[in-house]
Amino acid sequence: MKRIFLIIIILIALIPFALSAITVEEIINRMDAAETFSTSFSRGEILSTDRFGQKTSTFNAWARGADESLIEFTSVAERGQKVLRTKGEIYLFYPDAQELIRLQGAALRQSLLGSDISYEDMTGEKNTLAQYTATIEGQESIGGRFCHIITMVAKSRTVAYPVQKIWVDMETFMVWKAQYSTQNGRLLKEMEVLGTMEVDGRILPSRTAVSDKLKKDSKTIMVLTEMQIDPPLDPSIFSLQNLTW
Amino acid sequence: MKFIVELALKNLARYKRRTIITAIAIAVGLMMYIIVDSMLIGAEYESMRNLRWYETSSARILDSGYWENRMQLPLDKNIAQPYRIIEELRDEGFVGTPRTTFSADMILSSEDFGEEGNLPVLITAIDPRTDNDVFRFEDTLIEGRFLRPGEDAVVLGSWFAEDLGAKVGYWVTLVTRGNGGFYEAMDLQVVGIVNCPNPNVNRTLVMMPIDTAGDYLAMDGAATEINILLPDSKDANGYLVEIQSIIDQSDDNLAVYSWEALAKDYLAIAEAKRGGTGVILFLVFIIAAVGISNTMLMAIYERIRELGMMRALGMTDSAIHMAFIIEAGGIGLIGSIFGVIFGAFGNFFLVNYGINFGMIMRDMDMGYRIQSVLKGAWNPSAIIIAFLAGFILSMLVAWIPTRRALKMDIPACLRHQ
Amino acid sequence: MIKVEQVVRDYQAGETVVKALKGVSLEIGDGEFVSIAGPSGSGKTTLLNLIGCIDALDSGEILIDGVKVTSMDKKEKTTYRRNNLGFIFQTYNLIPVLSAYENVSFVLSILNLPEAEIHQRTMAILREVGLQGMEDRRPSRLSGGQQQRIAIARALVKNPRIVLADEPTANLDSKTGQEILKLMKAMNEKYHTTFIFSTHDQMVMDFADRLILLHDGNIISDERRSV
Repeated sequence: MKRIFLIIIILIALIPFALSAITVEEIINRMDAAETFSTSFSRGEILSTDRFGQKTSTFNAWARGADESLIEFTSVAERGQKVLRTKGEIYLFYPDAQELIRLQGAALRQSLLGSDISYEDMTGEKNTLAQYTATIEGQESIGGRFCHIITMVAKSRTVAYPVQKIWVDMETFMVWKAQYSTQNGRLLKEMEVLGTMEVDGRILPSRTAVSDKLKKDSKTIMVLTEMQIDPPLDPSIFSLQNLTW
Repeated sequence: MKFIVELALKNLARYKRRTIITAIAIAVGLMMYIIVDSMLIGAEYESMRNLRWYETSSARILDSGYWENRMQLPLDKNIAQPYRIIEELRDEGFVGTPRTTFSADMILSSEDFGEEGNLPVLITAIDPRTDNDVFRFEDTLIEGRFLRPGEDAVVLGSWFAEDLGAKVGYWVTLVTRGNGGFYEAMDLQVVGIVNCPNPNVNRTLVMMPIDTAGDYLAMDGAATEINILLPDSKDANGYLVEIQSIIDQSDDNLAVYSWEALAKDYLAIAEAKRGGTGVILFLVFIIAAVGISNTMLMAIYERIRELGMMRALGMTDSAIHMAFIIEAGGIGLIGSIFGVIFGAFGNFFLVNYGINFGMIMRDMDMGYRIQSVLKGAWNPSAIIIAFLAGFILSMLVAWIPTRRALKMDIPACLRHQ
Repeated sequence: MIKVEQVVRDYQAGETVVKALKGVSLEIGDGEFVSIAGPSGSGKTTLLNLIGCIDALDSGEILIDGVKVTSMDKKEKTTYRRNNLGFIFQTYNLIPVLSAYENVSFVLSILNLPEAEIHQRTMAILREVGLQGMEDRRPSRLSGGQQQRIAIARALVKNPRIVLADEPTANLDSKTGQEILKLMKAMNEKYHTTFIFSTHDQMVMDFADRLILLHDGNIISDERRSV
């Protein structure tokens, strides 16, 4: 009995060691995997706050793989506006003007609906390791969850954020918190997950806050009210023809 | 003929008040024409000069890909080795300076500015050692000092600084995207404030050293443009061809653009404005013309009986016509002489001292690249045109009412009250 | 000799046609001193204007010394008037900016006479009409009678064949009017110039050698008398 107890203590003591034994590459890959679905449908809202006040926009979003997504805004002010992302390109559709705009290059840096999220932030290539060199800095508990703290340094200048520091859940590999900085370590943006939900056995962020650390009082909260993973989706949803219906 | 001239001159002298008032109307019209024309030419001349001195330089070398996407200010479409090209240009007698322009978010901290804030700005990164060989900012410094190479510092336009509430010593943060697209933030101290005579620049100017910007933006020694000072010459195109052949030796992608090409929008507006000012000048003329035609109309109608008598006595219509036209021409001549004298006198002050429009220009974007003092310019052709127009137009406007009066039959003229 | 034959002159007055002369015929010999009289609207001024070649008729003919003046064109009429006719108007019609002398001399100027002759003739006629010493005065500084004297001098200075005077005394008081008539008569006698003047003033009518009465565009009487 005493021996068993000892073994348990040793095992418990060894847990952090065992967990940290996992390589940083593995963590990142599992993190990417947790964020990638073959298809998804979600419903939610974006609450953006700046020094002029608060604004709420609601949306429906469809996604397939890492490259294709369609967001359709349903709130009154933006009703019918759509953002279609295909590999490497973003199209905006404005129903009032019946106008289709293709965003490229520098235009992708514009913010989505005046929030702290840029179009570029949405074009998330989910192959983080191709763009960043990651190292584990340690562990920390965030909201009662044990996380790996990982610092990622961009391998090239074509990545928007030269340095990212992320807190990845040891168990679910969900990112609880991320800090985006310049090369010199100047903190630009911070992302924090405020609430989660379980969908098909996966833990996903349901309430995420993004704030621009250089602009006071600037904060965007993205809330997912509904999420379906791997629903059957018509591939034509992600076509340009579909954009203008 | 002698009698006709005498009669016309006597009528002129007899109706002194009428002659003087009409001549004054013409003189004022012409004076306004001369002065307005002078101001417009002066404004345009100075605008063009300020455009070259503070915005476009005489000519600019750009990567042709940059030119096509110049609205986006693409840092990657750059000139890789600007100094080598500047060297080559110097060997051929041209003065050049590199610049890199990029857009950024300027973050203001409450520590210096009293409250937080941010605004989009356009940054001009310059080489402090050579920029003033091409541009003229050093003369415009009103506070602090000019930039030094390699320092984390900015110089602001005075109106921009005023709008911001920025003072020398304050810090600002610029957040921008480097060459490639990565985020970069830099803290820069305001070291100087310039009062640039070009309002468009003075309203927006943020300058920093090009080497500092290059480090932050990962330009690796590249610049987005080379600005060139060309001597004032009619043969600007010849220079451009020469410069193009120099840069073709080192880089196929580079092209030289004249300041006219760079300021195309401005020049198009200026062109349109010239059309508009033509209308103003035309109106000034119309005022003078209406003045004299009204006077002559009255002169003719109050003398219709006299005119009938002369016709009855056997004076020919053409002689009578001539008499009225000489009379009108006389008023026109007096008005024109005084108009030109007054106009030249006024213009003398306008050219040598100018008018201070500072307070108006500050709040009003008139498109002209002029701040505060607006000076006129001598335009002999406008003065000659004004003089001749005042004289000839006066005679022309007398023609029609005289003709109409001469069409009346003689008894009707004699009955005329 | 002036010959007026069946002269008709209509005026368009708005919608209606006013028959100013309804077929007037008369003859006036050289050197006559004729008054054409009648109430206003009787056609006397029209007749004067037609003889004076400053109006056009609708039918009929006027011959002066055998020349058909009514068929001349505008230019010929102007030349004819310049050389042969003198006019005196009710309102004098002097040029206010010119002196008495200039008001007279310009008639000779437009005849392109030499300067010396112009001066000599102008001074002579001004003396004759009694304006000696007033040559430099402007009309505004002269009385009505004096102004009309200038007008007479202006009409006579070029020795015209005919002087036409439309109500020459209507703007003058009766005493001055009489003086003017006397002057005209004197000139008529001295230069043998034909004088034709219109009037509705009995005193003026009495002064004439011959009185032609017009009424409604017709001659109702034509009498010669000795004064």
